[in-house]
Amino acid sequence: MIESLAEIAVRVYEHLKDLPEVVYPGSVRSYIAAVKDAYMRLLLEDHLSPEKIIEIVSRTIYQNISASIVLENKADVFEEIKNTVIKALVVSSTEHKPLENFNSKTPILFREQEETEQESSKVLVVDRSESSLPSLKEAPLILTQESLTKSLEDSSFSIKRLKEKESFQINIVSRKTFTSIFEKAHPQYLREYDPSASAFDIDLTKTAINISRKRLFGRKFSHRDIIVKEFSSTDIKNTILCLDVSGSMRELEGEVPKIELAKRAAINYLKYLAHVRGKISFIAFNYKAETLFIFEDTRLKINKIESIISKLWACGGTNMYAALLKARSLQKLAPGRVHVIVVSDGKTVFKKKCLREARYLRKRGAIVSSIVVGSKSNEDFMLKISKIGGGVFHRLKSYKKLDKALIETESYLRKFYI
Amino acid sequence: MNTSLSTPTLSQLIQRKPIDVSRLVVKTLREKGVKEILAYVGKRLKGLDEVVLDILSGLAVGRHIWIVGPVGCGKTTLAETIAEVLNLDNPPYIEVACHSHMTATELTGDIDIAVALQAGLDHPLAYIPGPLVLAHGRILILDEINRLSPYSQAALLQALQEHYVVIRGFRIRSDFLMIATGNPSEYSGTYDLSEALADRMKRVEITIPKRDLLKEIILWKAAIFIKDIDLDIDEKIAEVLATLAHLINKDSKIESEPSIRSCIYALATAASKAWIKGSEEISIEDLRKEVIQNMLPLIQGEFSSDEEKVKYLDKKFREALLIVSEMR
Repeated sequence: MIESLAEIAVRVYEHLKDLPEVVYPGSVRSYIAAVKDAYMRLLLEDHLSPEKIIEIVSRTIYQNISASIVLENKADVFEEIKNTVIKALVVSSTEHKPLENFNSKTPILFREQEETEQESSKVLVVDRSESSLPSLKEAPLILTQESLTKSLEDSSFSIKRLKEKESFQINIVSRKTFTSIFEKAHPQYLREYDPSASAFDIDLTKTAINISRKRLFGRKFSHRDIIVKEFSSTDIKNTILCLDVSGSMRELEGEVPKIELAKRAAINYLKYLAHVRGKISFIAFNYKAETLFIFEDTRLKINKIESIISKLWACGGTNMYAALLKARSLQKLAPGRVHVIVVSDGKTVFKKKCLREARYLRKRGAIVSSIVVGSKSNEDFMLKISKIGGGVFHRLKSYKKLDKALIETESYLRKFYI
Repeated sequence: MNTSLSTPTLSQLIQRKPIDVSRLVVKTLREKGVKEILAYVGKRLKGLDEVVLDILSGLAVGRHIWIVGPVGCGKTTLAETIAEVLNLDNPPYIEVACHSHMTATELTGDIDIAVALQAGLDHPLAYIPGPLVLAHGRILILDEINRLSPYSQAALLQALQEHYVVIRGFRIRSDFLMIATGNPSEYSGTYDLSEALADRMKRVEITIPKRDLLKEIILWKAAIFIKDIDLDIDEKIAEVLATLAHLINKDSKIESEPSIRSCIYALATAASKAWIKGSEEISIEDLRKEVIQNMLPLIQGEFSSDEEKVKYLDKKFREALLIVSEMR
């Protein structure tokens, strides 16, 4: 049917071109729109008679081309268009019998089109009008073979994409680990001997010193002089995430501001923590540091934590020292070992104080990891922090991969210290 | 209307996904059915079924619509009703009343440099989107489009065809279908639409309905306006007004004829006057006065003064009265 309508449109165009009062017979765009529109308009009509078809087709063509047509002395060309439509329909009815097609009450949408060779200009109009009819072709009431294969192709494509995503490698520029293997065997406490203690746990050096001292002064020695080593759990279950929310995070990375990407990454990381049953404290820092929550169980309060993080806003300068200071005060509240992760571009004030604070944290048993993001970042400084903190150092090009880096840091340390 | 339209940030706008609005229209047409849509529109406007179908067919294939007609024939109501019945999103349409001083940035929205410097480009107030951007996935109604200056018209070109709005280098996707309304070019205060803009739209014309239909419309609408008044309107009076409108419309001297709105209000105000006076029916003299008062500002033509217009209206009113009484 589109072909018949296109033929009518081409005839109208040729006829108008020959008329003396027509300066410009209208744009190709308007004719393409006229063909599509006439097709749709005929579909909307309930009962079609030959007169009605002529009326609708000529009116729709006129409505679409009238805005782009240029006429002399405001002449009216509607009658001319109507006559051309009648002539075209009479001629084409002998060739393709479109009138019979129109006259039928069954929806024309499902009729199969016959492909015939046409003149070049008409082919152009047909091609372009059919290509721009996705809403009619792709959303039919009955699923056609074409649409079925297309949907199958689409789904196979999405499966391929999914597979590609799974095997996707993290685009980490560099990673260094400063964790110590001896740390695992390091005793946390010393206590007196009691019968339940294992003989292997006795600290021989300290016991020998005690006994030799007593012998030297001629005193009696008791079970109190036997010193036993006690090992605390090295398993990390508490994480403090320090995220940079300074003004530099407002910059767009591609289409999205860095802060939005960082927030998304943090939420993904929290979901991972909920999975491994970790507790988290969140410190957002710019020129000052704010603790958003203190060692919350991610598994139970993931929604609350997510809503808090989604409200973060980037502004101001960068003061990492304040964040590390806050982290040290939080460390006292933690029931076990603490892992501090600092995410920043490394451009901060009080660099020396930061290093000192990392040292304090390390002395108290915490592990400090750092992730530096962006090409214009202070990589050396962040490297120093993780070296002092005995953690993992990551350098990333983009915030898009931050969640992967966070998860990798966490899982690496968890595996290492179990 | 529920205005649940929250201000999106620039980064959210840049990441927008395309929406096939014409497909949504086809889906609605399939779900609701053409007859139901026509019935819905028929509750507000009568005798416009063909026009409604012309508009729907255009929208269903992604063509923007330009409704052209004289003042007060229901163009804007028609556009609003169609957008409401299609109900593509919430709210279903964004409406802009165009005027000659409207700038392109009023249509697209612009970045506030002061806010952007203070709080970044992604602050909700750094970029306040204009109607062209807000209409994504909806219908955009541009009322009186030919009152836009050529400079503002140019802002529409890219949005209508390429479905993108570019604001200071940021490219924002905006898929919408436009229903514009406008008066014919003879009206004062209008600009000619540029060829490039006019070429992007289908021009659907609304004319004054036939006499019998016009009579029905006048009676129906006037009855709505005077529903609190206890007064029956004689059909003859509506017939007089419809005849008068057609008489003036046929006259070659007249450039702009009285609108359907003015006919309806002439009847409604005459009825309320009769009610205030305590009379049970509208007197011819009251109707004559109301016709003159309501139609006088609208009539344009070869008149040197208002007095001539009054005389002309008086003459035509008497003619209409004569024709109706002869017919009866």
